[in-house]
Amino acid sequence: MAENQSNKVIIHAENVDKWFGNFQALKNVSADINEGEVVVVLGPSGSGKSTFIRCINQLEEHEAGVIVVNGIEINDDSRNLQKIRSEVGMVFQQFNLFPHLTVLDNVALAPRKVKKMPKQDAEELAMAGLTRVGIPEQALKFPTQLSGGQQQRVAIARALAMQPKIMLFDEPTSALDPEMIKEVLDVMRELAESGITMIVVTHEMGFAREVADRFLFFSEGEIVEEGTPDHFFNNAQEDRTKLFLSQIL
Amino acid sequence: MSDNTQPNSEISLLQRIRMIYEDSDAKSQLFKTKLHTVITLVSLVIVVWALFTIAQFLVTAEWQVISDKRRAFMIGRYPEEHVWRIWPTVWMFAGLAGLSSALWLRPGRRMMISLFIAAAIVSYLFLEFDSNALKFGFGLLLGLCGYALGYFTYTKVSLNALVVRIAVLGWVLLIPVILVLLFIGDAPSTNYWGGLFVNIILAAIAIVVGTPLAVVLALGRTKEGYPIIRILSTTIIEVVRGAPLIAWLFMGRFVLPFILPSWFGLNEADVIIRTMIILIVFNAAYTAEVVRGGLQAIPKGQYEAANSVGFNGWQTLRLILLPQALRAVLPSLINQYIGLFKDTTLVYLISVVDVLEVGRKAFNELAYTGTALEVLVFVGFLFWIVTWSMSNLSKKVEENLGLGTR
Repeated sequence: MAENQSNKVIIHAENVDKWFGNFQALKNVSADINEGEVVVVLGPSGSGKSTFIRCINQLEEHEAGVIVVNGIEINDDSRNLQKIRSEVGMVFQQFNLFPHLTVLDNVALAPRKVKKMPKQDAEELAMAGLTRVGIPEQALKFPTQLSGGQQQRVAIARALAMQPKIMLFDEPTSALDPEMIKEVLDVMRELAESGITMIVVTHEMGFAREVADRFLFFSEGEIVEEGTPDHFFNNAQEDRTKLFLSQIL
Repeated sequence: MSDNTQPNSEISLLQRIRMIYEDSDAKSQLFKTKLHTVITLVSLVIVVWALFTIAQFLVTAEWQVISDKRRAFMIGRYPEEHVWRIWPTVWMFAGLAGLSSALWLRPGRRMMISLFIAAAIVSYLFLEFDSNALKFGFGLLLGLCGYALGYFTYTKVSLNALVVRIAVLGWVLLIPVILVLLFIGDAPSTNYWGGLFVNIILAAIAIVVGTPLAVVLALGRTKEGYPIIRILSTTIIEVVRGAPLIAWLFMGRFVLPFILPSWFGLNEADVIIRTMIILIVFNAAYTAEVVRGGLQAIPKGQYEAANSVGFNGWQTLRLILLPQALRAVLPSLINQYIGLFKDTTLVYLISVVDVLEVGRKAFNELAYTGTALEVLVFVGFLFWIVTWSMSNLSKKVEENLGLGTR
């Protein structure tokens, strides 16, 4: 994975603040993520890790600070937002597939409507994506006819169909039955090896240790510690990090 | 002789009932306990009595008034030389209905039989073989042709796409075509409009124009909207729902001319046009709340997923939110439309002669004294045919969309 990395910064966050009412979810968060890097975001529940990645594609608006994605700064211009979102794919904990569309349409719709791709090309692209995640035979079914693991793989294919430079994963296996976690992690592992930039919020430590170039550890809205997996497992400095790792491992 | 045959036929009938009874699971249900037995027997008595009464009425009733007034029931006193303005829409509707049922509904044998019976009843109304029967027959023929076209192109992918496009375009054009035909050239004043034709056209326009308006109002009222638009939408919905339809119809009759702007002579528009405006807004206000309910039922994750794949606001609405919202509320939507269709009978209060009013005028005529029940049953039957078709259509659409299973 390290061999995929360049030194080009693809996501730049500087002094980002985010409030929910009186609760400050992000406190002065700064981070640079390089192209091709696989970053795993760790932290206890409510620590701001999901909020952080949701700020990157602006599902949450930050109140202060600068976020630059692939050279485009996030501001009030909705065209910039549109551009950023087509560069950033996202996979949700609850899959969020479109229940009224077939699996194929779920994947092909965005390329067709956002990138104005002809229907046939979009469907070929979608089939290629479904083949990549290992479920081309489910193309004509509807999402609820699929298992959780299959749905999450469709969600990954849907995000990939926009050919994003960056993929965000917000606890992608947390809503899955244990026996389905592996099939999703396998797809993500293959993706990590392909060289795409990934930011993953997860509690799957074995997977995280294997694929991550870098860990970010969040606590109470701040990045408390960051470093390589080795650093975290053998040489964590902060007490909060050690406590968290002792609880999760 | 008669002593011999009578018991025989009774036995065969009883045997037949017993066979049906043995086959079904009624056996285990109808006489399960003493209470079940009592309920079964009491209901049996009631059903037999009701059937007998209905049969007696149907045989002894004076149907002459229906036959004499059948033209008025359909189109009121619309001038004979202008009836050509109505037939093309009937034909267009028949063709589209046939085509669409083949394309989207894939009717089963039962549905085809009921359609056939409905068509037979309507044809009976035109049974004196004058030119109307011929025109009606042409409509039936077009319906069949439409059905055949849809049926035979169903499996041919490229042709099917083209035919689907034609069908959609046809439905979109139907109301404009009706209006153009009714107003083009030296058309008779809308004061001549009457009969079931008025009820259908008022309801159709209120539904077709009111529903998009309802979506706009519903969106305006959602939390995310601009405050001014939200207040405006909420006010419109609450004010319109706050007064009874009759009050609004009177408003349209007597007050609207002074309020409406003078564009295209809108302030001098006919009663029917003003009634259309009232019904459109009235239907929109009610439908808006139904649609809003559907929009609220959509999980937040759907908005987020749509945003994250790059859809803009309009695409998210059109491709993701509305299809799900409208599917979820389809039963309530049809409920609203059926109610609206029946509410169109209220227009008699502002002196529009709709089908019910034609009936009332008919049984008040000296020649038809004492035929109120016949007339009302007939008018009720006409309404029932339309509403029953609507509810059947929605049932079929729900099945096709897989509501409740997906």
